[in-house]
Amino acid sequence: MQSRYVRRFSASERLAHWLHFLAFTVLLGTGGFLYMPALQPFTVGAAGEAARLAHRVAAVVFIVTPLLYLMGDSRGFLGSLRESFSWGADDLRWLRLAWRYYTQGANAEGVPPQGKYNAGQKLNALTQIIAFILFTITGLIMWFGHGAVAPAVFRWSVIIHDLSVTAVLALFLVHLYQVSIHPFTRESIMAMFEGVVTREYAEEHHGKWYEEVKASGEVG
Amino acid sequence: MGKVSLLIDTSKCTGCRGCQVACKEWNDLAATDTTNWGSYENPPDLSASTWTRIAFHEVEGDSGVKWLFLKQGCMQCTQAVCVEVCPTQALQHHDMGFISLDQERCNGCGYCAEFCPFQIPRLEANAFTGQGKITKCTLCQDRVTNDMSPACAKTCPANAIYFGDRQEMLATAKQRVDELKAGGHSNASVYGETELGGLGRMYVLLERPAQYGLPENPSPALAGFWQKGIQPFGYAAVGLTLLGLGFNWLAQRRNSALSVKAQEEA
Amino acid sequence: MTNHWIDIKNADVIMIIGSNAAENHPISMKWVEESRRNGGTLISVDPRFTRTSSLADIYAPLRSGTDIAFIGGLINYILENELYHKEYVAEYTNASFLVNPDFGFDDGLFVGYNPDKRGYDKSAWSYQTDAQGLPLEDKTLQDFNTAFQHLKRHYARYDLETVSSITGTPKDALEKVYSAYAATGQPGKSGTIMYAMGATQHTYGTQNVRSYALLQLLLGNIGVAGGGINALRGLHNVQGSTDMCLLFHILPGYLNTPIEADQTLEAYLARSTPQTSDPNSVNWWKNYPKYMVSLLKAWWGEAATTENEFAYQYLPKNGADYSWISLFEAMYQGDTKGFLVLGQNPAVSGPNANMERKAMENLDWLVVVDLWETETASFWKRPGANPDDIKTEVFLLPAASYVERDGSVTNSGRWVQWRYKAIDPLGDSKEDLWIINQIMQRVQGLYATDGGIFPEPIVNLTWDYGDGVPDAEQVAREISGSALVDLLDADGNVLVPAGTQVKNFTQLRDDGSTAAGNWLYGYYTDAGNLAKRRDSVDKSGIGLYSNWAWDWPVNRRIIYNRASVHPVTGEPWDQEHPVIRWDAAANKWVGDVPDGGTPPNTIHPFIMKPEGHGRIFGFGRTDGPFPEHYEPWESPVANLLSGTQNNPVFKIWASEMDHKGEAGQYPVVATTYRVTEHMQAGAMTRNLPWLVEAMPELFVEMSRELAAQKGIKNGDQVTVESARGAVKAVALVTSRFRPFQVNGQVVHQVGVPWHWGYSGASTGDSANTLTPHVGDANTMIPEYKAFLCDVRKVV
Repeated sequence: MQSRYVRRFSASERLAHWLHFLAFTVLLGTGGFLYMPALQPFTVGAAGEAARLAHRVAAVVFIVTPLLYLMGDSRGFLGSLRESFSWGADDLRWLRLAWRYYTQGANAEGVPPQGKYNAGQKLNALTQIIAFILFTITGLIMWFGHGAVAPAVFRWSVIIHDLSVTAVLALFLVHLYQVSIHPFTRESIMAMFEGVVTREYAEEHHGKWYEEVKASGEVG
Repeated sequence: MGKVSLLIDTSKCTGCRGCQVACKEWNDLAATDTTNWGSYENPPDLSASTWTRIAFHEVEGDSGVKWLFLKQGCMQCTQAVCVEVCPTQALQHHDMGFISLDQERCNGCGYCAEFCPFQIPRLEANAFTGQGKITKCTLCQDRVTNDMSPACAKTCPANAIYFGDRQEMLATAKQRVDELKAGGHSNASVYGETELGGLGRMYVLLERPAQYGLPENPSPALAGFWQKGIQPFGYAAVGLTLLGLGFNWLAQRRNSALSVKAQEEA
Repeated sequence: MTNHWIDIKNADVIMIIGSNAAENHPISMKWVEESRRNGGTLISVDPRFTRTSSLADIYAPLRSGTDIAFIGGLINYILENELYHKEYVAEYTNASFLVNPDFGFDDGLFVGYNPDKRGYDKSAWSYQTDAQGLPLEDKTLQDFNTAFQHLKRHYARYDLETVSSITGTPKDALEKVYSAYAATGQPGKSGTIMYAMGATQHTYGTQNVRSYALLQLLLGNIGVAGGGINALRGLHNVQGSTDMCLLFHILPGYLNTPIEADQTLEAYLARSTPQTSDPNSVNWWKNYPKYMVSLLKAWWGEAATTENEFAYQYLPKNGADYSWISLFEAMYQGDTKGFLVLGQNPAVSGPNANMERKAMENLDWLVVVDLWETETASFWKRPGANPDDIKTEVFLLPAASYVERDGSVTNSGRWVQWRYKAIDPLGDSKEDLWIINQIMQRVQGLYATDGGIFPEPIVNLTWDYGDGVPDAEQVAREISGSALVDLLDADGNVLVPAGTQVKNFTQLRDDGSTAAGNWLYGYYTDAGNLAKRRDSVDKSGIGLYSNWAWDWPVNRRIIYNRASVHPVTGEPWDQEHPVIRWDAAANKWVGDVPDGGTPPNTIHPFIMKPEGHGRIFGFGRTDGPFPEHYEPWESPVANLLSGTQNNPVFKIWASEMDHKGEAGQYPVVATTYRVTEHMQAGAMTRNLPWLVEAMPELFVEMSRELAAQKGIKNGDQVTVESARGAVKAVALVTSRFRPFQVNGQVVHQVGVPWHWGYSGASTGDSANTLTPHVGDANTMIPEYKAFLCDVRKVV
């Protein structure tokens, strides 16, 4: 009997995602204290030191996660990477019509069918990758660079680190909204818990990918 | 008491380093292991256990060699970058015009150390955990708030360190510079009158500031960028995102309702 | 100091020569700066550009050991340009006195030299006198035989070119110094000379200082505010220890030690008490018998009677040389068996330290009284020594520090200041007074019970300090002097009742009715201990602070101050800074305590000399009435001024460890000095972490040129080697040292601080393993400041 579901994410991918999520939220929280006057008591003295320590522990997890992903599921890792960097006319068109997609649904007029990741997801992934690199470099400079790098390098590191947060945070909020609130797309969160989405969802939101999966014979 | 200031008259300083030792004695700071590195100068840098020190600058000029001594330490800026970047208010402007440091509040982030235009605060932290506290001269807060002069000023045998009301110090400094200029020191100047809004540690310099390793025009550099730039920008970005998502939610709800209605009508 | 620290502020020109005051006397710079603030000029003369030089208006480098050439050139400049204080020179100095026609000088030697004895027959170093024995004078100073003309002829050879060739000082720097300093010869202007060990530690160190004195007399700078010749003492109480005779050749208060010829008190007093028939000469030393007899009474009390010459015979009369170098030479030869060391560290501070450490191995016993286990206390386990081979029994007695005991200290300005104990001595440490008292009581007890060859001087010694810690104030009273019986004035009234303190030395007597441990130190009077006075109000306007502590003699802050006024009117040369002034209405002097209270135009101002005049022609020294330039014992160059290479009079020793280095093997001139951060032989500072942190290691300063020649980079480990030893040090390559152009030849110089040794928290080689075992012809102070070495990189 034909399965109701299509396999979307491997266990490694899911594990990496949730580790990344966990690390990111800890980093966001412990770093974010600095920006919110109401939360500043958490930055002061011993609490602040604990927050800074937690930030570092989370940073290690944050940096190591992609490696775990690569080791656990190199095909998935490389495939997702390739996917994120391959952009076609449909992607651009999708972006132009993204508002329609999000307000009227995947079947709205003119919205082209998408691959495994739609252009919005690709954009998110690209931002995450760039931010990851920036976070890592500037973070390490701030961690180990005291007295070792020129003050200007340190100062710019702080600024770049903080700007990266702003960009990533905005996308993170969009992401959260889509997978937990938005009625058209929230079903997709299943893929991160169970590893699968329904055939209907796959066909509707990732038409090209569904066809490929069907063609490969992995689903009947 | 109004704003106070140290005034260091480099034209009188003999480089004896009594101030360096008196600071350690009063503030109970440990001696560090040093070696002679081809200089009279030691310890080689400010540190958690060295809040003030004399830097020796040997300058060769047309009129022969000069040996300039500069007592380093916190400049107690009016426009204090350290206070601006400190996320915990461990560093604060004291009413008397110096920058106080509450180590209980410090979380060891070290931003002050990196953003200070004079590179004065020092963070001695565990390289991995980052745990540590910032240290710097606080003008002997415990002394000056009890009607005593800072330990360095108290001990200076050459009378090269003055302490008192900032306006008086400034007047003394200007008078001294006039004397020095009249005596042929054409490069003599007051340092700290206006720099960074006015410093609580001023110098009478015999030569250009650069010859003492002081920045000619100290600037807050990127300090304000954080509070004045990134923070509002971050708030705006997150706010706009949430607003957009809200609109999206309303729009899709309206569309869903419309399509349900259309189906019903159909 | 003829003057005192605060008085430096009154100077118009300050010449710091043979001293690095900013480094070693930091407080003095406060007053130097005060002078500069009032328009004063600071001159720094030093082989290297020092912390003092960094503050100076004029810096002049000179090769170590060429001070006499430098100052001689200045004297010549002053004479040639007639910049001397003419009235002062004519009236107050012996410039106008006619010198014995037999006196002469040739090729570096004064008349009367005996090369076999390495000494002078000084009979021709004298004045021509009239029938009454008064010196003949020519106030015009023109007579060929006047001291002034002799002076002129002597220093005519010290022209700019020659001086520059000897000292290595560039001519323009010489001229700058000369014109600035000579300007103080103008009446009303003052110049002061601040000097220290850089001047004295030479085989002609006394003559270095003499050259300053001569200069100051010519310029009228002695006795005036902001003038004088001012020895900056290396420790807080060096002046006090000198006054109290911690030198081998004097008794307390600069009284003579008896020599063989002084077989009776009468003979001793006759030799020691100068005579004059000049009614205007105060000749203060005419009082010598009062001071000597009072001293004998203080020492031997009841046992000192008119019948036994006041116990004069208790004193040894060999006049032997017990100077530092001689003591260690004797120890090295095995002649000295026991050694008691208090507050000294010879293993680090003595010249040719390897030899002096070796010499201590010949001792049967050694007692060290110190705060720390010094290099001296641990000499038997020093690097390279085998403790099994050293039989010396060593005792280390823990001493109380200066904050743990009461007593007086005398600063360079002769101020006797009382210090109070802050805390009780820690642990087992004991006050010096307690230690000396315990030792002396036992020695006295042993002599009393066991007898000996000559027990009386010991047994009869006044020693009544009890069993506990002796009362420092009791000692102070004993030193200051008291009446033993009622002292009566000429009318028979009681002037000083028996048992009370005398007012000052004018009340001391030579009949045994008074006792005083040191005639100069009359600071404990019936008004109490004046060293405790702390009145910080200055009524003088020139910073005398006359009611702060007490100054010897008789609280006189500036000595020879009668020379600060016009001889006839009594008006100060310098109206702005009057030391004293004759108040005709009140018929008395106002200001400082005058050097003689009689009206103007009655006495000569230099009251300590029988002729009452400052000596341009100074025949008291062993090595000549005028300072003459000689090269240090070890020098890379020949004496340009004469065929007499070295001071012809100083003693040369010849033990197998007294090596002399030659320029071929050791071409570099070396000198030793101190740094602010460390104290003397270092025990007190090399054990203090903050000071060790600031100055952690032995270093050697050298020019960039020498470093380049030797392939040495700043911070390299190098070896400095002399004929006597070698030290490892960090090279401090600096533009503050420059090579000297000496007679067309490049002479390099290096400098090494001498604070380190093998004991304590910060250890290092001792610079004194390099220095020679020769000393000054007059005082025997070692020649630490100029010797030869070589430097090389440690590979």
